[in-house]
Formats: sequence, structure tokens, C-alpha cells
Amino acid sequence: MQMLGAPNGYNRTSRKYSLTFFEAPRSRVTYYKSMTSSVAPLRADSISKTYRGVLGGKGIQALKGVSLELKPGEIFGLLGPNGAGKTTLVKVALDILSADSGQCWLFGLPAKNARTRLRVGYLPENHRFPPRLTGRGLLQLTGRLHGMADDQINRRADELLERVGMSRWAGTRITKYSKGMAQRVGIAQALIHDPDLVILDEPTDGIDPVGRAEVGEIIRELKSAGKTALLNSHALAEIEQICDRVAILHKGEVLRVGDVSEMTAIGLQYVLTGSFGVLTSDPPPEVAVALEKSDERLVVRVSSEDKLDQLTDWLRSRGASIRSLTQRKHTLEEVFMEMIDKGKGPG
Amino acid sequence: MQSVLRSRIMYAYIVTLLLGLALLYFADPVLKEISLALDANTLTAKSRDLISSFASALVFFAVFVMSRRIPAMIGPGTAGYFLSKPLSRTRLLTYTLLSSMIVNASIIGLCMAIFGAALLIILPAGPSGADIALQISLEILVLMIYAPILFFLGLLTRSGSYAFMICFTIWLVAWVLPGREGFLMFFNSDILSALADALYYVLPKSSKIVEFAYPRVSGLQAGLDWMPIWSSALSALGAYGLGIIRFRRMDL
Repeated sequence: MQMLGAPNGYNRTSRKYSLTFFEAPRSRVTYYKSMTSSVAPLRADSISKTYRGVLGGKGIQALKGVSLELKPGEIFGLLGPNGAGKTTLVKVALDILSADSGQCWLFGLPAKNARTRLRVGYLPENHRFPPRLTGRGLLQLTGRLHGMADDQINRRADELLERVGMSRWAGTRITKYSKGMAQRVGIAQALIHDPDLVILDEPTDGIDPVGRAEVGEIIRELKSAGKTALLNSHALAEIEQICDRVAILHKGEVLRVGDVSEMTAIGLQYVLTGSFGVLTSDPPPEVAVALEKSDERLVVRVSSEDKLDQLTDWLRSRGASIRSLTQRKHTLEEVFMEMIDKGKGPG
Repeated sequence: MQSVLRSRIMYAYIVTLLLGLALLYFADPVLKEISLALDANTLTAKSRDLISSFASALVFFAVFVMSRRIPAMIGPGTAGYFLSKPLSRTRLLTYTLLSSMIVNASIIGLCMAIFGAALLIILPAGPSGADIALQISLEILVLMIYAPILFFLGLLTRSGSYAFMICFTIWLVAWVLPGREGFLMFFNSDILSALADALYYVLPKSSKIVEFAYPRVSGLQAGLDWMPIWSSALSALGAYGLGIIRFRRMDL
């Protein structure tokens, strides 16, 4: 019996994935790694969650039927103001919180199954790792919790500590670390077991600009390695640069999900830079409509991309020189602010 | 283990051990003098009290350490780290409980073994090594029985201080309950009597467990009473079960 809405292959009756769970005596890591890579790394189906006090009451509804699906190999950004439900959604996906209704799936298996987390690396927001551990100790503990062998853990810990620039302080207790250092080690522990899905909650929180760029680089490396990343962040400029797709959450609802490029695009508007002081008139309306014009900048709207060639020809014929031509875009922050202001927009 | 060895509570264990040994060292002439005046059974009983007092101090620190273990694990910022790992909550709680029990029991066992050895040297006419080992084992058993209760209280209150205080209260109540008839006669209340009886059977019987060693240590031939040990073990299992249920339902 195939469960309604369940990912292909999941059988509700047996509560087991109908692949080769008991077929061969492989290690649990190998088994979970071997599962098909086309399955959504994370899928949320109509998740609702209300925080209630000890005495019950109306409570605070943190998520209202949120549905999302991550594609394998993409970098996905979860955006939203404080209290939008971003961290709640991540916690439900990792079974740290239980949903009132709906279900989360990790790699096609119910998120309630602890073993699905073998393939997931997680950096919690405002983390407080066991204080008596050193940076290396944290990575070793995390590796052991993921069932890794000691030699594998040590080799990987060396690589990652070097990668996040923490080799020098690997033997120092976490409590002695600055926020940025703790964050770097936190990212390293999330990657120790080479997860296929990395969930980073405010990864650049407390990190200096150089460190932020390094974190961005690490996330891009994950993408090149075919990993999926879910970023939960307020740093919209970074999200815009790094993420393939984003979801905007507000008051527990998904306002919009889409490609960053699509979300920030403003129709067929283009910005040209160069020398336009020689122009005595605007381009003909059948070619382009000038929206802004100065000696060095021209903003136009065209009816189709084919018109761009005609426009550049027309400009050159009038003696103007063109240095650059780029499509005009909103920043993600503008899109975000607009969505939040509207409360609920199209999409 | 490494984290416990690095913790400040280790100083408390070491200082307590050193104090205990210093007490034995300075009391050596007096103890030897007393030992000449006492018969073997009384001397053994006094030795037992000495070991018991020393054990109480160590168990106090162990309970203090263990009461903070769960609230620290489920605290903000830490819970997410542990619960995002591929371990079910049942296994996570069980491993934490077992590791905490093993580490603290090992440290206490070692400290008490050193103290017991020193006592054997000072009072060769006192209890035998086997008697002291039995008493040490029983003191550790009491700690083992209280560990799941502490963990359950930690899950319930999310506070190490509250868990410690409530556990201490339970220990006190459990200590006086075997003699409940003595104070219940002043109240003449069936409800209170039933409540005291229920508590007696539900709570661990720590005083009775320690007394398990008395017939042997005191050289008496009375039969050993296993009931308090089984009953207390069931209480501990009950607390462990409730802890698992609570932990699995917790939103962290």
C-alpha cells in the first residue's frame, strides 16, 4: 500500500523502505548512502506547529501548513523575519520538535526515523556545544555519534579544521573560543561525516567578513560536490549570492518559493553603461523605451531580447559607446521587504 | 570520561579522598586504642559507619554531577546538537545514563577502594577486605538506583538544581519510610497511612540496601534480605521507563 503523499518506495504497512534494507550485511552508513540520489533530500508536507505553554491555551502558531521540497544538489535559502518559523521548520525536519500535523521526509524516509540523519549535517542556531570539549574533541564526538571509525574521524577532522581555519586552536576548549571560532568549528562538525544534506542555521552569525566569504566558499564547494544545503539566514546579500532557490516565510506561512534569479528579475529591463551624452533623442519606441537616461547610464525596457541588438545598433549609429549591458534586477532584500510588507504576495 | 576527568568536580572527589585519608592518618592512634577496647563486632560496625560516612560524601558529589547531566544535554543550543544525530532518543538517553553511571561509579569505587585499603591497614582486626568490598558495592548500587530517578527529574524540571533538590528530598523520605509506623501513630489517618505505604513500595529503599551488608559485616548470621534491592531496582527501572516516555515526547 503506497502511502498517500509519501515519497516513492515508502511502505506504510511495513514502515521500511522497500529497497534492500536487510539484503546484505552492509554498514548502515553504506546503506543510507546507497539510496537513490534523485529523492528529495528534504520534503515537508503541510507542517503545522503551535507552541503551547504548560497549561495549554491558544499558544503561538509557528508553522501553518508549510510545504517545501529541496532538490538534490541545490543550495536552498530559508528567509524570513524573526519568528517567521524558519528554525521551527528545520527542527521539525530533524525531529527535534514534533509537528502537530503534516510530515517531513529526509531522503524519502520519514524524518522520525533517526537513521535518516546519518546523511544530514546540522549547525544549530545559537549552539552551545558540550563545554568541556575541545574543537577536535567536538569533531571526534560528532563523528562517533555518526558511527564513523576513529582513523576516519581523525583524518576528516584534520582536513576540516584546516578548511575552516581552526587547526591552531583545535586543542583549545570550546568555551575559550570567540563566537566566530565556535561557528567555524560548528560548521566543521556539521560536515565531519560527509553528509549529503547540510542544514546550516545562521552559518555566518558572528563571523567576520573574511570568514563569511570562506563560509560562502565552503557552501559552494558542497554544491560542486553534489551535496544539498539548506541555509537559514538573515544575511540576504549572502543568500542571494550563494543560493539557487529560496523560500520566504512569514508568520508561519510560505509566501514565495522560487529561483533567486527569477525572483529578483524585473521583466526585460536592461542597464547600459557607456557614453550617451551624444544622444539627442530617446531610442525609437518600437526598439526600446528609455526609463532613465544620463550621460553615462541608460535604463531601457524592451519588448523582447531580440530588440537588444537593434538597440545597440541604434546607439552606435548615433555615436554612443557601450561599456556594459546587464539585466536590471531587484536585490533579494528588496524582494524580501516587498513580500513582507505585502504580508502575502503572488506566488 | 575525558570531560569528567577535566571537570572541577574531580577536585571535589580528590579533596574528599585526601580528607578521608588525612582523617584516618591523624585518627590512627585513637582508632588503635579504641580497637583494643572494643569487641570485634562493635569495631566492625564502627568501621562500617566510617565507610558509610565517607561514601555519603562521594555519593553526594556524584548525585550533584549527575543531576546536571540531562538539563545540560537538553538545554537551549545543546539539544539541537545531540538530537540531530542519528540516534533515537531512547538510545541517546540510555547511553547518557549508562556512561554517567559507569564513570561516576568507577571514580567513587576507586576512591572508596583507596579509603577501604587504608582502613584495612590501620585496623587489621576490623572488617575484612571482602566485607569492605561488599559495602562499597552496595553504596555504588544505591547511586545506580538513584541515577535514573535523577535523569527523570532532570527531564521533568529541565533544571539541575531542582532535580538535585527533589532527589535529595526523595532520598530523605525513602530513608525515614521504613520506620513509618513510628510517626504514623501520631496522626491516626488511614489516607496518610496508605500514602506512606504506597511511597514505601514505590521509592527506592536506600537505607535497607545498605543494611543488606550488616549481617555479614557485623558478623551476624541473620539471613540476607534481597527484597529491598529488587524493589529498588524496579523503582529505578520505572524511573528509567518514565524518563524514556518523557524524553520521546519532549519538544526541545
